[in-house]
Amino acid sequence: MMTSTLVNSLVPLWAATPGVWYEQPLLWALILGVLALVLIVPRSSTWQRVTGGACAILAGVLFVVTALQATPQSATHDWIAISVFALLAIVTVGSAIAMIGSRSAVYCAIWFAVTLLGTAGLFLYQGAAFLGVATIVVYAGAIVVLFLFVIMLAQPDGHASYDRISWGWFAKPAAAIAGALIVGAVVAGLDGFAASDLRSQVALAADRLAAADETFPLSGNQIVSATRDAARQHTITLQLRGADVELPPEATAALAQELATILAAAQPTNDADDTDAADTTVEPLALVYAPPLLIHHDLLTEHHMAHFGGHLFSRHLIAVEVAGTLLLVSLVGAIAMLAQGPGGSARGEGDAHV
Amino acid sequence: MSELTLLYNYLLIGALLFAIGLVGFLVRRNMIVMFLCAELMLQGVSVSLIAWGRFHQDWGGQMLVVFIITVAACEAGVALAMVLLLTQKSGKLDIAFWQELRDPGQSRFMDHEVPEENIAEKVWPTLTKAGRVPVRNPEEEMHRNRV
Repeated sequence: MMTSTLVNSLVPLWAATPGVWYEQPLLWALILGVLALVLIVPRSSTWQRVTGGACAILAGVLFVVTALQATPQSATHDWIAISVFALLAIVTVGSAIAMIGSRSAVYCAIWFAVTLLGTAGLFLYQGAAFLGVATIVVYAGAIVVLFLFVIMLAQPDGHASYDRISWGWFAKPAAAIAGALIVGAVVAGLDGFAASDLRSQVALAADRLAAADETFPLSGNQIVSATRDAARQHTITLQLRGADVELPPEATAALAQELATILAAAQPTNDADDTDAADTTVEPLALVYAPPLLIHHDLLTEHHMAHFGGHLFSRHLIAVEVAGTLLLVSLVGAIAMLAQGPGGSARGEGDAHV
Repeated sequence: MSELTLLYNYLLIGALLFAIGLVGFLVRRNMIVMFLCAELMLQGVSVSLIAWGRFHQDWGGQMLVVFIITVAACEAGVALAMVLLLTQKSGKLDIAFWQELRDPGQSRFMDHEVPEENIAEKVWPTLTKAGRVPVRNPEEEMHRNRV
């Protein structure tokens, strides 16, 4: 078993959830996830696989609890956005689990296609419209169909013996624990990231002001970046999205006031012993505005395709050419391998036939 | 959702997809399913890249995903050609057939129990009947070896 120090160093995972290690939902989600993956892969008894499915559902619920704890309370009002994301996430991860759990290779490929649809939805949710569509067209439309063709060519009738069983008793827990360590390490690595995120605090201030006053000219998701000046700690540079980036002075003052309140409220939880913490509340914050975000740097612009293509075919032009060559080479390679045949002896150039 | 929460959630989803693909790749024995799981790991990486690109307002994440899709297509083509070759040699999609390639002195992996397939699981999906029954030609069925 892991010692409690290791667990304590690994598990204060989300900054928003202080507590003892066994109160962390993420730890239990990981343990249940390991159990689910070990049980759900093809094996002899059906009831074990059903138990695995139940464990997977429980682990999913705990992951949702973990994610909701990390969500700031003010953000829970946009429940439509959260539930759309949750639906996409459930479809994606659930069908991925069903994919490695199905015995028939055809069902594996179809569950993978469902995962791809979920991933495409997640891409669209992030504003990556081209990639969302390209995932459906190229992945689900071409690559999965290629897999289905090969399954039709090579798969024997019924469930083959090697589809009804997985690797031995050691491989399953070892693989699942390795997977859980990856997820745990990613989430634990995010912990130090949360404390210094000024942008979300500014966005929170703007959202509060906009909720209190209808005419406040700024909302939280218009803030592209917020950086503290290195020399003067009380000057914060904001970069905004939109045509008119300068806020009127009274709105700026209100924003600075609200932000100072939020920063002061956040201070004692981060470092209670720090005596410098009092300075933030005493000295007023100064907000200055950076030059507006250039339109071709904005990921959420209306002209997504134009800017996407502009980047792809200017800055990444050589990579595009290399990728095209790679496609050609792999095509020739695949044909050459199949034309040579399973005997392994190369025939003459002219009479290669499949 | 704020940008930071969005990043958190997407990285969690990406890590989960990667981990599930890893488990599938290490545990399943059908070669085609193993390659499907490798593609699933690529999907997990793509989700994380998109999230980081959005968080830093940088197009680089999306550009990299374009090339991931390209490389995945190449990989699928070449890998499936190899799978077909291996299947023609062994007659099976079982990766355990190729354990003869192991180092000398290593012991052979033996399956202890392959579960029997029970009758309830031998039910396959069927298509609903449509159209009229085709006219059967007994003479043609005599010399056709497979239907």
